[in-house]
Amino acid sequence: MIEKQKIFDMAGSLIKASPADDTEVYFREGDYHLTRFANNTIHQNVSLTDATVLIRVAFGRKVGVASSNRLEDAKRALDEACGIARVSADSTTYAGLPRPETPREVNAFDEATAGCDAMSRAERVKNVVDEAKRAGAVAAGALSTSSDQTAVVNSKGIVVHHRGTETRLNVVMMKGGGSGTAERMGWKLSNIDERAAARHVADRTVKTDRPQDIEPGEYAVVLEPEAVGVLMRFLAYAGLNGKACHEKQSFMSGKLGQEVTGRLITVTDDGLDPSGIPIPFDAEGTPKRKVVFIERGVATGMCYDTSTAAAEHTQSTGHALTSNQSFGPIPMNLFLAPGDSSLERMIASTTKGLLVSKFHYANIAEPMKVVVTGMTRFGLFLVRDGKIAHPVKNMRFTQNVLEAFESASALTAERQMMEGLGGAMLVPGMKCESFRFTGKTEF
Amino acid sequence: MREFCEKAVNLIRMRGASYGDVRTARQREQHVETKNGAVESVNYSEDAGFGVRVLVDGAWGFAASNRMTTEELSRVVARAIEVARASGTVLDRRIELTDVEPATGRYTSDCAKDPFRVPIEDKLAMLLRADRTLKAEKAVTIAQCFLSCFETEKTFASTEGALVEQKITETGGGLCATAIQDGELQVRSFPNSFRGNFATRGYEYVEAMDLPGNAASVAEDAARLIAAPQCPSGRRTIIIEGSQLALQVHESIGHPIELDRVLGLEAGYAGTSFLKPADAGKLRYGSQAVNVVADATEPGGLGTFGYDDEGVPAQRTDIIREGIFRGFLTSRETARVVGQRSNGTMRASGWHAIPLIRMTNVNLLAGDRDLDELIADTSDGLYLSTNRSWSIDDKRLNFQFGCEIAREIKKGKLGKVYKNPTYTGITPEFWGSCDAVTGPAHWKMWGTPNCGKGEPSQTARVGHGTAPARFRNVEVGVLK
Repeated sequence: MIEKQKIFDMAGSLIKASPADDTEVYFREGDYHLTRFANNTIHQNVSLTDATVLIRVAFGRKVGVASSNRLEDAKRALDEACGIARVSADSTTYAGLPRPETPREVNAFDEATAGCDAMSRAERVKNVVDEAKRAGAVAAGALSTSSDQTAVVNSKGIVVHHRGTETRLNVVMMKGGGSGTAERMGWKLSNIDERAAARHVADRTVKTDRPQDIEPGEYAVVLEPEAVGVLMRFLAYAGLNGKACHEKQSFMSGKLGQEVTGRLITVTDDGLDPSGIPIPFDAEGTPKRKVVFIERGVATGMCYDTSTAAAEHTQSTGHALTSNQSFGPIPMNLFLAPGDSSLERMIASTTKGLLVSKFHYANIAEPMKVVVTGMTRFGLFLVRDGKIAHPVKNMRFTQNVLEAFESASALTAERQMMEGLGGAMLVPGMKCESFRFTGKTEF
Repeated sequence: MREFCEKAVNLIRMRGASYGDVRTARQREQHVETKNGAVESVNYSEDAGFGVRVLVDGAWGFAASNRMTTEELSRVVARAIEVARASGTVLDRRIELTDVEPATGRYTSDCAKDPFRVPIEDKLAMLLRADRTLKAEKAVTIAQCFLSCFETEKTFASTEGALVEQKITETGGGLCATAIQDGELQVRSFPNSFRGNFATRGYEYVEAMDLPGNAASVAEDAARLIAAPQCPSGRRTIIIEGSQLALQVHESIGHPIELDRVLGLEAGYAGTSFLKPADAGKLRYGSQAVNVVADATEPGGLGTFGYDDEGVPAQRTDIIREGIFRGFLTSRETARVVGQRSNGTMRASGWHAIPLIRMTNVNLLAGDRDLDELIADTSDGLYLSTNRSWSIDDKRLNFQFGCEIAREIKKGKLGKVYKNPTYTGITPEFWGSCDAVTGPAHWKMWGTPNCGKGEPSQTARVGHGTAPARFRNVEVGVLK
């Protein structure tokens, strides 16, 4: 990778050469490797090196954005951005570039993860496949490792740099009519125990074979963390966005200080929390600040970038996406506060309900109400009199997430890290007293 | 790029791969968006690099880089070989490719007006005109107008002697009017939701859409929707408008016919398929009215190209004929498993990605009914337009779609507007309930610019030709 000082020098010379009032250079470079397997075989295996130089300029309030993935074309990208800005009309949302603040140093770089080669990934995949074969199952999934560095330099004096690593393991197994899955994520490969994950999935795969039909309807549910994660992703997508909130498109719009969901629910975003995948600043170079979106069911805060903060007469919380995206600021380091229960205790406390491993291909049906529809996948079980009675064929849910969380009666103390909204999130399992299943499928 | 590719092929051969290919690609994109009377964003991006794919002892390896130098080429070829050797350590089945005649040639998509040469100020002026019309309707809280253009130049060469060059230009755009009132949000889009419609055409395609001229009716619909009653639930006859039917085809036909899904190769992420290899030629997928082809040669289709990313020439193949399932979308690897030849559907989202089986233009062929006549022939039903949400299980059986708007059909006439319509079904049962497809006058190509698949995630631009069609006894309005 390019040395930090060379990146700063390149960005500095672009800013010096820029005729614009404001110039911002966002740089990202990295290596990404992914080993994918199916039918107990590595069938796709990729290794990639890429970079981005993204330039935002403004002449007054006329803004232009251009990017290239080649450093030698950075000056051309600057010229393109200037050309766009010169002929553009005034932006009503551009609020200038942020001024420098020193971000807190965070460590999220692991040499061993960055240096992991294809053979090491294959060895770990082999461990997963061996567990699957022992269980008479077929394994699929992927193991990825990546390392990257990000820098933001702007004409107001921001000069920041961070390097990080990331790794993710996704394991799926299938046997007869049964299946199971597990996801493990972090910034240190050594923290991922692929054998343990595979054993868990193999056990679940055996237990989900020969699922039975039950009728859709309202059920109490025990949601494993990966199922909660899907709902959290849509909660964040639909409403935890300073722009959507400002435009009154969010369930949080005008609700600060009001109860929006159940009292067990506390949702935060914290880019500096070492239990997630920390990153010290956003794509504008603004330091990450902790945001408490929902505290014990009450709407308490929102995330902002420079533009939405100005519109709301507040400060950026360090949640800007890159300037070529108009989606608005989003939480990329989400946390759902844990409770004091366990999945076992939740099951034991359920007279009649369903244990849900994961939801699949969910989508927002009504954004303002956070109504989400999707399917169950990788294990759905009927719980009767405090015990798992039998596996159930997959069902469709159509559920208002805020109402589901309103009915939450317990959260697990243990949380799991998984892919969030463009970053990582840490969520517990949850028991909801009421959850609506609206259809079923044939397997 | 030819020289670079030839060098890559020689290096792959020297390093002992049984097969190898190289793809260089240069892509540029421009996105222009307005919102509520102002410029929301204008951005331009360029992206270039190359990817090397090798087969060593029956195992795949792929490496790619943005640095197009001779030194980097050597490193990347070596890395691809190293990755393939690692793949070979976890291999239950050696990968073999079906034969293909090595292709040589050049393909350029239709483009009458280079979209990158149209001044940005002209694009903004057109979008802002449409925006003003949208905002003239008081109920419209948020007016958004979009246009995008893409240009891809790529060269493919293989150790078998293939060498093809392609230049593909894609454009598109659309409008979206959002009405928000009392905690409720309704959206109306033109010509399609999620940023409009797209084609392998030049800027003439955007001009022909006449976004300003269509803005008033979009705004009126948004105003009607925010005041409309909830779509009633129940088993109904429905007529599905073309753009919604395009997504229905995409999700419940396009994905399940991908042979990699059928063979379990996507089980770790998107899922598999309810179809089995033996179903080809036997399974009843739909009614006699249902005829579907995969056609990468359809002029202007968003899934139209000259060659796929394995160098296989673009083709038109039967998918469903008179309701009977005929065959899958295949690659050289998967076709070999079922004893066939590739029908040329392997595409990568860029130089940095491996090709996957992707839909080309999966088209529902036109029937022979007139739309007005079909509505007149429907005593009690709903006319559903424009997608708002979609979801389907991992074998592509149970689906649920939400639409932007429903119109009641009573005694053969379109009646009142309903909001939040949804419908749900099981794939073969649903297509089996199709009793009429409208004729060629109503048939149109729809571009889906955001089809996600694979790990690392890839986005493909694919097409679907459809004409409005009628379905009987469909479960409608499960949302409360």
